Amino acid sequence: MYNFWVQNWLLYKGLYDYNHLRGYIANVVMQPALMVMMYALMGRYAMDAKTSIFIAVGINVSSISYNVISGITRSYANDRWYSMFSILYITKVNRFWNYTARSILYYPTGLLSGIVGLVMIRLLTPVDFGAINWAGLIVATLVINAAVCAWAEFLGIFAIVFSEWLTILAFALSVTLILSGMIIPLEVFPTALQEIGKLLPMTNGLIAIREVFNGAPFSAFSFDILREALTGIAYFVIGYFGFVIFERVVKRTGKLEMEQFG
Amino acid sequence: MNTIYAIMAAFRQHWKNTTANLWSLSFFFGAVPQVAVFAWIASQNPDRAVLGYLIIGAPFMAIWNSVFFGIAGALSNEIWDGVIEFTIISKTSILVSLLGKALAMMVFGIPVGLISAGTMLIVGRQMPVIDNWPMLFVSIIVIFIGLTSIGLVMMPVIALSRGRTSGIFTPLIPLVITFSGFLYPITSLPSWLGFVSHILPSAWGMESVMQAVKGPDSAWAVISGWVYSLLLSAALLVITYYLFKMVEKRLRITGMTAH
Repeated sequence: MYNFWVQNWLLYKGLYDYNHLRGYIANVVMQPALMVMMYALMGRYAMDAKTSIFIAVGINVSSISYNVISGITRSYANDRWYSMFSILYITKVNRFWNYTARSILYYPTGLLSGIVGLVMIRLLTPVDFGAINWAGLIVATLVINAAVCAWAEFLGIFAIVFSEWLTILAFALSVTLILSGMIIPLEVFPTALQEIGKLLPMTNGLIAIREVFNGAPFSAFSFDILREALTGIAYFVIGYFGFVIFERVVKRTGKLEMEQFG
Repeated sequence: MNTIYAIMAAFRQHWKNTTANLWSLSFFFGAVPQVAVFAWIASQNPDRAVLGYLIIGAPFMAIWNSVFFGIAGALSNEIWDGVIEFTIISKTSILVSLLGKALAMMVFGIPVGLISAGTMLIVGRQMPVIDNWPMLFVSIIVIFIGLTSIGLVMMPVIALSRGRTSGIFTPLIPLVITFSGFLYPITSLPSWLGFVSHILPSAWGMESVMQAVKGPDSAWAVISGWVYSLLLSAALLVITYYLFKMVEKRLRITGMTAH
């Protein structure tokens, strides 16, 4: 277990470029605060106060994913850039725990980002905090954050294959911005697209979060939370297999150098 | 005249450097999903002036997203690449040289704005209502100058930053967008935050855009936005000049032109 936590810390400390106080505050506190402010005010101007709540809640979840995905995919890409995989591959380190360790310390990052966004929602929209089902909000946020970490791990495999993370981040944010119901309600899309949207992380969690803000009881959104959790587990498992397959391909072809792979 | 030659030469150099290294689909199309969402929201509002306002502001947001680090990081890159020596030993001011580079980057971002505007037209499925096109056109140029001067002032700030700075400038992108009123009139900002907008030249330019879109209350209502915006841009250039002097002094004292 000690080795697992050492891996957690080293992978986080060594590969997350923003891992210093100023960088952390800028990205995990300021960035989400500004994003929620920008979208909430835009929603109020373009539509009305009620819509601004809808949009602010959606973009807050997007901010969580921004911080988690950028951190994890970047650390995967850095791992490749810094040629660390060759060292990993000659050790007996348990690959499952190594894979898992890459996201653990980003979990609190996502939560902090979400809390900052929540404060901004309180300050800038007419949301009724008294009506919120707080227990439901906590559970939904914890599950969404975990699903986002799993999704980021899945995307991290693409980061090591292509040795690039910015395009992957942009793709992930764009797809979820449009299809997860963050700003455009899912019902607007054709049924097929809605179902595709529900295969993405955050979509089902957001349905639950919106119910929570309406003060709905847990039973009204428990299925959505369960589906969000299952979505996260599915991405985590697929990502793990990708991680293992990448190692096998590397060992079989002997082509780990960036210019030769991907 | 020599100053103009110097700006043009720096423009050409940075343009060649940028076009050689930065052709990527994500640079030009990265903002498309975001502006598409904005257009969808605006299209839900029967007031077509909302789309008219956003179709100007959102492309500026897209341009700023794309070019910010290309402008703000230009001086640091010169130092990092060890070519700042040529600028320092030249009689041309660093400010003039880097103004040309900033303009090159802004011009390179224009297609990003056009693609964003096109996307909004397609998604919005309606022509925006603009009351006064000539005033709008001048306002766009004023905002363009304003954004260039904001990017320029960040060059020496980033170069003067010491220690672990990776990531700390990223929030400046949404900060400028938020307080410039690209996505809403700055009067929408809470009063305790509104003062920040008044120090950004781009925010005054967007005030004029608002007037041009809905029909100007008076000629001065539009022109005042241009005047304040240009004055603030000039003030930023003066600040930038002194910050460049600080960079140059530090480089000469430490002798560390290249890292």
